[in-house]
Amino acid sequence: MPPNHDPRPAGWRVGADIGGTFTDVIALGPAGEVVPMKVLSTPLDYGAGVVAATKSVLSSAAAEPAAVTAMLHGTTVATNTILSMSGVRTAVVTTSGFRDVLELGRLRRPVLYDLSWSKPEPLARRRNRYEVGQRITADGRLEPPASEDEVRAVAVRLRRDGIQAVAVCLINSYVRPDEERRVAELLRAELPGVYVTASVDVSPQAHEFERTSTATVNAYIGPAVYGYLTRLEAGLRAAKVSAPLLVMQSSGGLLDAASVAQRPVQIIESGPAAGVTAVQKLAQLMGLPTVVAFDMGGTTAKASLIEGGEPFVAAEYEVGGGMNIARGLGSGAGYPVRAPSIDIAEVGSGGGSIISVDAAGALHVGPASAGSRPGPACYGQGGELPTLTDANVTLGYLSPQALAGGRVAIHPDLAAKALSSVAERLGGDVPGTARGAYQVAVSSMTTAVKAVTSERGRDPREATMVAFGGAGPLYAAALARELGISTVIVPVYPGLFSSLGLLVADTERHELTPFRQEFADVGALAGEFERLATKVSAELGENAVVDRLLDMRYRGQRFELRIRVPDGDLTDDLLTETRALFHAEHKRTYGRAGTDELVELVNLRVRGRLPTPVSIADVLDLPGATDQERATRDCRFAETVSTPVMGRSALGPEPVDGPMVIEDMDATTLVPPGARAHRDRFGNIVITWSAA
Amino acid sequence: MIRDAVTFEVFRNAVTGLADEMAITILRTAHSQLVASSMDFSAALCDAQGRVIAQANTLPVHLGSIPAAMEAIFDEFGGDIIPGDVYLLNDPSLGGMHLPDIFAVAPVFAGEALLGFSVTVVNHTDVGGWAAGSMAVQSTSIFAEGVQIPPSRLIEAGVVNQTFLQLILRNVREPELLRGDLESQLAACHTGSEGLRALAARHGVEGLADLVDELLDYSETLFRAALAEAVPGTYEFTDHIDDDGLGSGPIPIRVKVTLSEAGIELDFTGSAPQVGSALNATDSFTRSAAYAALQGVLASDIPANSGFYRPFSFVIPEASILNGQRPSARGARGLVGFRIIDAVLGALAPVFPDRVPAAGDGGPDGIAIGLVGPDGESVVLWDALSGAWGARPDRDGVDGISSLGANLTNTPVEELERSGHLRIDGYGYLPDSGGAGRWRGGLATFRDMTMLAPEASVQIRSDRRKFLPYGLAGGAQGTPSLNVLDRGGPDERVLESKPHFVMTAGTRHRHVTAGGGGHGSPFERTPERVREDVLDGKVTRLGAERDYGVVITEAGAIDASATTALRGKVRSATSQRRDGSPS
Repeated sequence: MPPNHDPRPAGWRVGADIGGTFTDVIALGPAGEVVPMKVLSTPLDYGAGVVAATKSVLSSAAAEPAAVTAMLHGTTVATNTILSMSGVRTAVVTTSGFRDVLELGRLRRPVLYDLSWSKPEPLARRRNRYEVGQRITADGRLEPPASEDEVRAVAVRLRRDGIQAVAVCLINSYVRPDEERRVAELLRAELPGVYVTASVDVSPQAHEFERTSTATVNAYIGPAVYGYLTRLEAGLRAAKVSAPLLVMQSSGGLLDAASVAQRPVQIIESGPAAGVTAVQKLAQLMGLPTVVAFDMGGTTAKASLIEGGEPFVAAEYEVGGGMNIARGLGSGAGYPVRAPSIDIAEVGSGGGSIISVDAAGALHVGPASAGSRPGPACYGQGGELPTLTDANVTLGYLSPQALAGGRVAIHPDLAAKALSSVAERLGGDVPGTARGAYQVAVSSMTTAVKAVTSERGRDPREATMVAFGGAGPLYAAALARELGISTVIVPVYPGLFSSLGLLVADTERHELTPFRQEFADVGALAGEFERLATKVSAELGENAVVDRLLDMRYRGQRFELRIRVPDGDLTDDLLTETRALFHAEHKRTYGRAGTDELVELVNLRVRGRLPTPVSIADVLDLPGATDQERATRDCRFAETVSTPVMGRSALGPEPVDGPMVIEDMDATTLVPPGARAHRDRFGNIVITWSAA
Repeated sequence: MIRDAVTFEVFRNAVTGLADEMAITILRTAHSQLVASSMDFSAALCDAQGRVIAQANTLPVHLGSIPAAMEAIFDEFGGDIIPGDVYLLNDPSLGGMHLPDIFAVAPVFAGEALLGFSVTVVNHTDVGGWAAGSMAVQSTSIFAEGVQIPPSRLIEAGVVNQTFLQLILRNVREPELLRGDLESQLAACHTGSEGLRALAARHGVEGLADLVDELLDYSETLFRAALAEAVPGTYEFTDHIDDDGLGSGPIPIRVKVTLSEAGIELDFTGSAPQVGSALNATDSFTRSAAYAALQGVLASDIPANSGFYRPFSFVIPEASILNGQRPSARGARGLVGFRIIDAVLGALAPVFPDRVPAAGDGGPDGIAIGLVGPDGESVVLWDALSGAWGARPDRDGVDGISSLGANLTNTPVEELERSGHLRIDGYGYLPDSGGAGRWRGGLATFRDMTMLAPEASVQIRSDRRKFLPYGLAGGAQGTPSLNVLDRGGPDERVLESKPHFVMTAGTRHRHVTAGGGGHGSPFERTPERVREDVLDGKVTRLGAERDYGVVITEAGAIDASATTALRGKVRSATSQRRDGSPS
């Protein structure tokens, strides 16, 4: 059975998404049964938690493990390996004279005025960066080629130095990938058991630092990811689950575990991508042209844009540098990676964000977070600093008794006590201060939404917002109001939405080749597309849908725009049409188009998709959400209002005026005064603001 | 005084985000390598009085010069600022800094009311003059440096003055690059204007003005609070630029910093008179460099705006290197800015001993290569080479980073080589080049290139050959910068620090940046840290013994007894050794 074989389930599909605190599992049965499960993550061996949760989901559904036909996974193992610097001892092998490319980087810092700033530690230390006396010239000549004897001598040193992973990155290898692969092959042959990455196999593009960094990240996390997936597969087999394991990539598509083990650099943003994928599928189902996906959890808030049913995909980002705002000015904080990744803007506002006052009396929210330990003061776990969650409890937005379906007890007195010191500094009362913190958080989250909309020439007012994550539904309506967005959708299982995305994601493969010339040679272009398409189809099977994409820019620009080539045979006319699409997209994004300027191609990409056999409608079509008694609670908005509190099922198809609080097992939705809400046929809570 | 903490914080988020949004517009749409890759540009928002409200995360030494540019625009157009205008300037004696830095400034209106200005500064690749890149050290008059633009209307009420634009484009080597980069400035001005109008719509015109007052007061309050931690007094320091590139030097930069209740005064009396070459700064640029130094020392998170500038007062002598008079040349004035920062930091070292680092590479060093391409077109290749930060009071310096005053990236080797005009033969660290200390200074970097084009004209702006990056608290100086032609060949020769020379096909050149100074006595550096550096090849075994008194065996182990003996011996022999201040 090929690794991507994924028939329409006669059986069960299981989606498992690992987070810092919880592992979320959702199973979808052959008769449309949906079984959610939230368990504590098992940091010592995350895979064990996945196996255990899968078992218990299956047993609660009375399903046989053998009935599982697809095991779909979102994992933080790649990111965590970098954040905790726990990867293997990694080497770089490069051209003589360029040992320091990895560590020099681009010389830029993410902060202007911090004299205590230090660079991130290189993932391969200088002592573990080795040179080979070879050279590829810019026009592709070997002057000289690498000598086999010298490469073997390097292998001896690598073995002696206890190296477990190697990134091979030669200067100009993007014009002669064969030479770099030859060196990598020689090393593989000499070093059995060592993880070897040739840079052109993960990033076949120009720019030596970015390519070296991508290859080094890949090598550094490779053994950890490989080991993790191997253990997980073994654990699943032991539990009699023999379905193929597919892993979510940063780009939003699933990929088989064996391929992921080769290019783990593609799964760094696995978890966030799963959530956006769920929103993408919902947008397609509902026919929403423009959607802002808003995901807020315990430490950060994330925004991304889905247009025409497709998310924006960034070609490069930095991992391990804190906030990935993907804006270009803050570069230098982390490790650049060139791998397709859903373009997600992130700010440091989450439920655990700490509320503080500075020396000049200004109020700040985050980016420091109380995390899950000690957590917000109201959890009673010893946290004393006030957080957004404490503010929300104080405001009456969150239950004063318990959260997460009763798993977390809440102590409102501790929340108020923690907030009182901030209130004192500001000369206000506790509820007013809590309300202020709520508003400041909303304003900082607008930055993330603007980064993916107005900074790209998109008007957020034309978008629908889909909110998820544990804290997203609590802020979404206020955030939408601030941005002029009139409709907010809170889907079912907002707190488990990422794992739900796994159930409905397509399988995807990306291939790219640099193609830096003008539009002169249609034949060459068509040939390259054909070559990549054949490769992708061979891997995905004949049902794959193949898209052709071109990264294009005006001559001299540094950033490209990615344009989808319209369907049809590649002719001069079709290229002219593609070029017109580029001008239009440039005009839309940046407000101007240089129609008389030279347009150059940078990369040629092929994306193959094997569509999922499951529709998100299958998952949303729920046999009734949890019931809950209606009650009222005092909530503080501009004023304190007695506010109805209810379960999702109490909401009907007719819009009802806010304020109200809607409590799901995994999240709380706030409908402020002035907004209205109803439940649609997909079970979504739909919040609307009338035009201001 | 902040009246409403929530409204204030929401506003602060918004204007800071807006300035960054302007910068991103430039970054993503610019056409030149200098802007798109090296990121040599800046963006900011000003209020109706020309006060800086917020600046983007861009180039420190640009940003503090904006008030002077705004003043020049008010002098020229004060009574006649109308919606749809865009002003340009680059004239150093009328609000500019050096000719390649062209300001594009757009007034922002809500109806009749002037809300403020969107301000952008881009270092253009070439603005004409005798030397490719228009930044040659050897220029002796501004008339040789390129096209001079006094405060002028490029766009009047929405209509572009084509004659004016064509005149500029006709005078530069790569007109399409200049046009593309200028358009990116206009796009950024548009972004800023839209955003400022949205803020006025939200808060009202007067509400916006009040919030700007609060924001400026806020920065001033934070800055004064930070200054209050310092011991009042007067602190002096002198640093030097080696020479002016025409054979004269050294060029002292002297500063006397007085901290008092009133604020901070920087008196540059005693600094060198203006020089015959293009190193002369402007009064505004001198202030800008001083602001950057203080931002770096005091805190990284005080919003940089005109409120931050309020506690400063300056004495900057006329016709000095810090404030040249027309028609002195200015193209290479960046170097003076970097040395001002070094001097101000040196003066503040005793005031803030736990914050001020030893001196870094003193750069970036600029290399401009001009040649004629195969089709007869003018080509300008430019790169900024940076090495090191000096050691900090509690940690090592940074290896491979742009200096505090700049934040420029390097150009990818593969990008430079793709031009087909040159080959880079090596780029990396030099061992033993970081000043020794309890904390080691950052390492120098070298870059080797071979010319492939038949003939090219090369200019380099570097320094720190004679007056080396200072160490602090007993740390050693960093190593000098270097230019070598035909290294290892029959005609090997060492060039001066600011050379202008011709390279023909096959000629090789090596540039080395200066290494950063060390902090604290090298004999207090733990042997384990020295060993780690030896294992990484950042310090040689010889260097470990000579500079740190640490003996590392061939196998890479610490020879503890030999180290104790050596350190004891060296310490007694060099007990009078002073820190590395230039002598």
